Amino acid sequence: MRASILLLLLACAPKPVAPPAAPSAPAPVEYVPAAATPLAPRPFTLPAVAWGSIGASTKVAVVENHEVPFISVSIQFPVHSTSVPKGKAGLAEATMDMLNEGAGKRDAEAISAELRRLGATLGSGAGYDGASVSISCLKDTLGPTLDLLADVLLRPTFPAKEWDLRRSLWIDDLTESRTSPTRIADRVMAHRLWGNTYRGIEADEGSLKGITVNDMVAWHKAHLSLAGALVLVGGDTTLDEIVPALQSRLGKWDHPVAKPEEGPTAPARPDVTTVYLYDKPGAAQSVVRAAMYLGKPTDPDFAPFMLGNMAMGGQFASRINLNLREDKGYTYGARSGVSYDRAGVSWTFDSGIHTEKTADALKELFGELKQVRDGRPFTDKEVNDARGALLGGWPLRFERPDYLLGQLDAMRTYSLPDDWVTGYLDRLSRTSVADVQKAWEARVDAGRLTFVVVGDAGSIRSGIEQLGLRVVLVDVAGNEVGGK
Amino acid sequence: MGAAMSLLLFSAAFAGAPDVPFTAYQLDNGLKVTLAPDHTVPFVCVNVWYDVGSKDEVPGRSGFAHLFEHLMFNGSKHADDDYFKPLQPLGARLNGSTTLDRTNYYECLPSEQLPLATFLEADRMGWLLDALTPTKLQNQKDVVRNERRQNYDNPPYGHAWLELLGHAYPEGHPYHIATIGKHEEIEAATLEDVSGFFRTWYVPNNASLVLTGDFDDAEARALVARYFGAVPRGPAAVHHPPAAPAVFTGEEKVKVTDKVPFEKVWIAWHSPALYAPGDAELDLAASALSEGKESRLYKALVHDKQLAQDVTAYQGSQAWESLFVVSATAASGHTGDELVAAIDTVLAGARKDGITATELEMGRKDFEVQFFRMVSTIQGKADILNGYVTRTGDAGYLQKDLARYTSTTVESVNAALRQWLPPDKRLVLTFVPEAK
Repeated sequence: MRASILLLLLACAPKPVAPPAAPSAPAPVEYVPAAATPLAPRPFTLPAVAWGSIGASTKVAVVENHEVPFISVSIQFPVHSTSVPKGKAGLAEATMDMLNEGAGKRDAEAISAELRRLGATLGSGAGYDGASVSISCLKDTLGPTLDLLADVLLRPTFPAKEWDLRRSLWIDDLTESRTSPTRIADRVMAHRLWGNTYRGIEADEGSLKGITVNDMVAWHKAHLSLAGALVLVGGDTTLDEIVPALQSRLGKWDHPVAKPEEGPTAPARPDVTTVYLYDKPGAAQSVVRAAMYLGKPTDPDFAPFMLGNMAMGGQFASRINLNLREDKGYTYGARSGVSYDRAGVSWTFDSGIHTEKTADALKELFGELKQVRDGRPFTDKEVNDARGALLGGWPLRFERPDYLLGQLDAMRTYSLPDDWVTGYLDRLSRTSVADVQKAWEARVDAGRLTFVVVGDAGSIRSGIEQLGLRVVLVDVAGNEVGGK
Repeated sequence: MGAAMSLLLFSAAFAGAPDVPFTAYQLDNGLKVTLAPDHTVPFVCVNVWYDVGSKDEVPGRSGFAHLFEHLMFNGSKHADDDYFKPLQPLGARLNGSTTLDRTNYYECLPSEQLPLATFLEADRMGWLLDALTPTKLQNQKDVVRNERRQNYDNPPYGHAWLELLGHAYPEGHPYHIATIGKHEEIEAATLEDVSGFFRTWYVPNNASLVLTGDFDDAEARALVARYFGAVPRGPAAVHHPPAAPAVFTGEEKVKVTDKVPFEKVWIAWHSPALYAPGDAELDLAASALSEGKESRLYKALVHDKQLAQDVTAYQGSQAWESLFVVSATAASGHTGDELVAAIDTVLAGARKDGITATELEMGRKDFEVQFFRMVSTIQGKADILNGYVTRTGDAGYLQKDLARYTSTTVESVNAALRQWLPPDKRLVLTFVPEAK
């Protein structure tokens, strides 16, 4: 290591050795790089989706990709973590999680070992917007992997002993989540937006202790079958190959299931921007989040809004990140995003900010949100750059089948139109800067945001209040504990 | 034409090996070039690895290799603006990363923009310093210190890796301080440090360029020659690996009290360098110990005794020497000491009876699948090839790398396990929650 210093001195020595300059020698030629003119564009064709069906009428979508010998199969069920009896929060997640804890003749250990012998993975879970079971495997182990998938779906055994363990691991994880600043921020935000509905519902020690394996058996029967499900297949296979393979194993598993419950309605916007502050004494950074529900992804100004978000905070070279990170150095990164769930579309902001710069950073953020409406509207260049980023980057998403298959699932889950994927380029292309400005002004209101800050209240609270913001201290569940 | 090789090295248990055709050559200035076409989508990845990491920093300047990486995005002589600005509007994905061993940069973008990506990568390789300012340096110090706060200072257990390296390697050892560095040393960096580091390490003869994706071979070669060929060769980069690998002479115990919810332990042993004999064997030993619910540690600690929430074993391979680590988080009501005792029981059993042929087969399968996954995207492919070129000089090392796993035997894995994981020479790091 020390010798590096020596080297460094050597490297700093004058220019590379050149012949002694003759008095009349011309000055060394300055390197002028040739213009980086683009090459001829190469065509991109959207990968095809082949549709088939199994069981009575369960749709199967196949996106082929034969580059590597992998196949993935995912079954999406129209059931949610909230599709459970009152007081049983966690039952859907628990049931899905328990599918591989025992199925057919195998116990948890044997299932895991079999998967590894096959070079396969199996995952299952439930969330606020859906539930799924998926496998991925090498082409040459497709048959036995599907056998295992069928066991897990049709013949789970829900051993009580394994649930005792899963539950105690889950409860420990809840404890962990209450010390992690980012997880606290997520929890508080969900609670402030949703109260005790939809994303505000979370399993806790009490609900988990009330869940039994009998509840799981009943939930499995009531909610899981091919009826209403969507099967997504990607990789080194074809429709002709996969449909019979699935039909022979799952085809008869299509008993009727409970109707999915009504979708949630987006929460009303608060009358005034409020900062919900969770005190984490001594925190090196403040975790800062903001959110606001905007409407539906099918609203006509969704595409222009996406472009506005890209320019505002949706990419590295955006107003917010260039200001808070590259100009001020308050953060490692500050991003805004557009996310959707079953209630609609929301605009989000997310950053980790140096404790002592927290109020300064919020001031800059609000400055950006104000200026875009007042004096610094989006420019043609910003909108064209944003469009270029989304359109230009589009083909890479199709390198593996997962993205397109995920879009098919999203289209169904969020009731998106049939041309959601195929019309994407067109929707973005015909958006003008005026459309973008209008969409932004109609949607984002800096005076009605929900903020969550997890940080050292003693150091940051008064600075935030001095910005004229309402601050409410909350506990780890997001409930008010004091505040003015 | 390189090695789209079909060496029939593989046992019947193997579905095959990823086929990654490539061409490799070198420019006069010493830059190693690898072209690996892949026409799945009309995108190309330009990927450069510099053989410099935090291991090459000088004393008092920890975190510098990474801080420097940030400065590589703030403009160069002929493109003096943030590098994201011209690239993002084209749909490019770009980033860089720094480890103990190496630094990489990449941009994946539509194929027709290959000229811009090669121009920009070459420009910062050759002419970074002309665009450097004190303001840029100060800004990136602030950004990097925030990166440290976000990823290491703020999350529970975030300092574990820093503590692990700090205690596993003696002061002055190239791996003693984690790549992110210390706040005060990041703050101490000067413009002179930046130019010295650049001239020492950021020379084409200490770098490797890999292009993957949908490009025309002749066009790519011409662009590489035009832009990278203009970068002058620098002095040979001389690394300073330790004369002898670090060793533990006994068991070192370290307890750290922190804002964490549960006790958590890390047990670390010094182990063979990446690609050295024993490295692949320890990867496979780690699989047998903690991969899947049937693995020895999971079964004992999480399932049967329910002492731990999780347990993981891995061989953390690095260029000069490695650490083999077993870590576990205590379940509520249990302690780090209980975890260590239970881990020791499992390890004693493994040393005594050895892992079985079934366990070995499953471990090999894990790695077979991993190889396919790594080459399934142009970005992954570029990094894996560049890793091979940088560490072995051979872009075709993929097949040899795979063979390291297929050629292991139960005997060789067990020998490695017995040799490298002794019960009495190791580091035991425990994080303990602060008293309420």
